[in-house]
Amino acid sequence: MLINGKVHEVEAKPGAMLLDVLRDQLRLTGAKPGCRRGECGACTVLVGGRPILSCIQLACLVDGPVVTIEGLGPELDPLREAFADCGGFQCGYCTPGQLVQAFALIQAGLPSDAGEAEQAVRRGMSGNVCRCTGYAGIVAAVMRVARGEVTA
Amino acid sequence: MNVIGSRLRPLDWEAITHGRFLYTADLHRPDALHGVIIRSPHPHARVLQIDVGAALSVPGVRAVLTTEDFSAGIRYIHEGAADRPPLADGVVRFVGQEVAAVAAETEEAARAGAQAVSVRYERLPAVFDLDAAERARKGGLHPRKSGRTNVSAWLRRDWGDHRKGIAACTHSVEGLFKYPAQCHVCMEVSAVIAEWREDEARLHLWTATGAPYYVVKEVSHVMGLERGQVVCHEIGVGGSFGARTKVADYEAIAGALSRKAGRPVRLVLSRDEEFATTKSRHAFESTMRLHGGRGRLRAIEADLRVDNGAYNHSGVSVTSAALKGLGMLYEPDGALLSARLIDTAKRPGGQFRGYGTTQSSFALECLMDELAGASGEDPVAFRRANANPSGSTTLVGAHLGSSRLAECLDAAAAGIGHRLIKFPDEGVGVAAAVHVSGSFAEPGAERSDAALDLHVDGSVTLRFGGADAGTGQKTILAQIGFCRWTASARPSTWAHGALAAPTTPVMRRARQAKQPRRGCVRRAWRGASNRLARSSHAHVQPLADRSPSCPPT
Repeated sequence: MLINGKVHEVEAKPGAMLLDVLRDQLRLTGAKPGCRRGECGACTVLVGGRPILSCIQLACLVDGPVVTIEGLGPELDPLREAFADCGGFQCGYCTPGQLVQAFALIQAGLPSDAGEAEQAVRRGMSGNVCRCTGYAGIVAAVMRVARGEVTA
Repeated sequence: MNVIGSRLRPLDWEAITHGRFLYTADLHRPDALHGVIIRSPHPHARVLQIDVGAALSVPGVRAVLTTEDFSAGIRYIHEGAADRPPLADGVVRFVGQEVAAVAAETEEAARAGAQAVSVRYERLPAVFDLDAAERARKGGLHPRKSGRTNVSAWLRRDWGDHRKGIAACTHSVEGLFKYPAQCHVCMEVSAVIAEWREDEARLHLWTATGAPYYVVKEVSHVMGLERGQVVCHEIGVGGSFGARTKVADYEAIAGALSRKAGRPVRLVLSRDEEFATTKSRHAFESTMRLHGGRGRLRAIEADLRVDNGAYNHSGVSVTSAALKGLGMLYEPDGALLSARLIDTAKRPGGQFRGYGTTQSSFALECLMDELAGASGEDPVAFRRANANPSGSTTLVGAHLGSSRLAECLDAAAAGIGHRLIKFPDEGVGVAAAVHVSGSFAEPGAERSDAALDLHVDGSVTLRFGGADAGTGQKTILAQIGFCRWTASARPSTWAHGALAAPTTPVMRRARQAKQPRRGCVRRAWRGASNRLARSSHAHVQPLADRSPSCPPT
């Protein structure tokens, strides 16, 4: 598998999920198990540039390059800083998933109208559950980067 | 440079946003066995026999734990309301109660071992709702001192002069308010790694807790150890909301499994286990009556029924706090209150943010709206007029050095534009609540200690015995430490290991060392790394580098 720019040989049982392969075999523990049924978003990683829920993704069916939170470099820094400055996390457990999702959202492009952009952010982030912040800080952080107020 | 009052990024922000911040299940421990808990399938039953022979012959199984591995009759302390054993000893009282545990080389082997443990039960009658529990005349879940079957505690409060208030009232409103149980749903599923080190005769724990003090106190107690023999290491805590402010039910099990197997044990709950078996917010049924007249709340009458679940845990103190909350916020002539903590054969209740006051405030505040409405008053103005002012002594007997409730209400009302609209399904409203601090719940509980290590390079490590569940204790204490010492050190060389939660437990930890203040600090410094504060152990980059909004001056 091509993971964070490197080819790794992994041994996965037919039913193994990508999340467990990443965590147990490659020791990439940034993606987190939360619900283990594709509902909370804590396990979000990129496959072929698109965010997917690695806890319900069969590892053997992954057909593109995988990028985890650990594989995102300076291109993620604006979001990292915005999350820290806007109160986008407290306990931090859901944060890697939130950041990967937000990164994909911004990469895909948001509407230029501010109101529509915020709606798109709220919709786009709605699959990432956060129990601490009440989401306002997360939306503010993503919007700040979307508006280009933070640059790497 | 004034760090206090500045907007700082949380100390761990870089680790968190790079996915490097570690939580218990992230720790790489290939030497650890996998632990699995065997739980009761019955709500109430006698345990007649546990046969572990077949499980021990399952390949990969290294240890099977039952109540035999603990001292006979041992119970968690739980603030003196002790009634729960670490593993069922003779009786199970809710579906999901811990009966035995297996440690094995792989998770599959542990599950196969758990399947092979044979438990024989004799089912007993079980009650699930408050009415049935109170109706029962015999066969209660526990023998209780209240004199009533299934009533764990019966608290009565008669504060002030409620008769005078009732005699003077012109309006009365009443209602029955049901507040359901609630799961904390921390994003991180509960996990513990326990490592018994025979050469040290000490148990090391990595566990998602915000209160290492309580974990050490309870785990050492049920395992028959000295407190110095249990060490909580600092590790990320993926949410608490109350769930992780007392001992959990799996820490001692993992510890005893590790001691028995002679290997580290990793025990991670499933989300299903978390929902079904860990302690919830207590469900309440509150019958309440408010009496008022001429813009005043004159008297409160309430009868609370608290669903204890199968074990006390913090039930008695939650119930007590719920009552206390009713006597703190407003100033009626009096309050006549009672509360029954009722045993049901269900997953036990426990501490949850708000600690009982959430449930009783819900009833009180709904009725405050109705009482205001009954006399044609604005609900905000009515609360404001009845708020305890600074300098007053509440019904409970607490002297309020300061009280800003009126200002809070004004700010909230302004924030929603006074739109107190009530639609059938939604609306905008205002409610007030008070939370009684736990700082004075026990003698010495308001006390806290921290230690500063000043290094030859001018950097400083700040240690304390708590943990940060995301609410910023580490950053706050680093700010305080920085300001305290900044006059004598170069800001650019400051390092902060920030370690703790200014909660009750932390504070008493040092007290237990039975040393004067300086001694406590030394203890927390050296011994701490052994027995107290190893839960907190971190060196971080200089604070000045981490606070772009407040550069060194």
